[in-house]
Amino acid sequence: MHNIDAQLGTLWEQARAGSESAYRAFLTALATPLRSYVRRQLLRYGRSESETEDIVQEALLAIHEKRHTHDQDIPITAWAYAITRYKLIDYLRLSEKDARALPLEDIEQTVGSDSMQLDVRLSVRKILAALPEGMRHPIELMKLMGHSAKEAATLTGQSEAAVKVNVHRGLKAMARSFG
Amino acid sequence: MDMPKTDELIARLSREPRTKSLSPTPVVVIGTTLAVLLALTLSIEWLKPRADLAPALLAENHIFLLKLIFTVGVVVATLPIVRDLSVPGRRIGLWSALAAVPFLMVIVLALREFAAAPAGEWSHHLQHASWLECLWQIPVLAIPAFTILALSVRRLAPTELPRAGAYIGLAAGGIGAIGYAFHCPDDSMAIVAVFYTLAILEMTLLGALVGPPILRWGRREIR
Repeated sequence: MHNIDAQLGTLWEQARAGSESAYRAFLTALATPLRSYVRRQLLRYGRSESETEDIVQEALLAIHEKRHTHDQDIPITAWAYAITRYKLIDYLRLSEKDARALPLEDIEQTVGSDSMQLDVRLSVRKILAALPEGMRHPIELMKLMGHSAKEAATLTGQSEAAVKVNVHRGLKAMARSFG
Repeated sequence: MDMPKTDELIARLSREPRTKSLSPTPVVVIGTTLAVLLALTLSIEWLKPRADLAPALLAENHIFLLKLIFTVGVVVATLPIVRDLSVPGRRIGLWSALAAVPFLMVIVLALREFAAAPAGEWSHHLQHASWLECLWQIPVLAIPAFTILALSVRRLAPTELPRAGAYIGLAAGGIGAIGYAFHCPDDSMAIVAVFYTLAILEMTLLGALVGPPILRWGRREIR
């Protein structure tokens, strides 16, 4: 474990100095322990493991976006775990509020069936309108107008990674309100 | 679904190893400076400085100066805590108890004043005092300061939001009290110890309550 800490610390320092390959190696190496941490915690809270990857991705994105807040004297793993924990708790709190969680596949099947299509389209519009701008816009661009993620990123000013996450999250939120 | 795979996400993120964002200390220092300037401007424009500001500054009892030392002390003692609460994984050390020192100082001074004053003077003082103004005008000066500080800290990464909110409220309360000290016509340490403290605590409580929704960062999937 100490070995991994030291290794990650070195990669992180090289990344801060501007090395893309070190940063990539750092994030890749970090994802593994974060994943098992998140999975353990989800199980502990009686939640499905299937949410692990979502949370790990959110944590990685947060680690990236908040990389200016790392103090050199804090072990990089302690810092990264604190962010992951924050993201995990935030995720659990948000999804707990909504007991009617519906798997995403259900909404896709519903939209696909012909007889209900118009009705469903109307309510999809309504639910879509309730999403925050940052999520609604990329969904409209990609899912209704058929733009690529890259185009949607340019049009919204978000990063491509953020666009993809927003679309995924937005659809999921829509699926929940559908139930 | 075109759920981005974690590897793809990492590949994308790793193209930007450097960051241009300011680190925690400058963010908190800049936010505080702006907040203090705003509170002082508001105090001067809206409350107006006390008419006898110059004599008060030189007064033998030094109460005006003590008010400044107290209020500035609250802010200075709180800022390192606010900063540390903005850094994930940073533990708040025992030295954060230093934030209580300015309050202890004014309580001691107030008790000394109380012991020295003739019996009738204290109640006379309370009746004529501006303590009610103090209780709402300090928060009014402090709320813009709180907003600036909270938005600054949001750019960092607070992970204990109620606690961070409370300390930001404490700092903002201190900043509001700095502004109010220039207006406050009552030169009594008892007023400072009781009502400045209460007003600052109001802001601390407010901060703990409104901190979480304001400080929450990186929520991409709010419904």
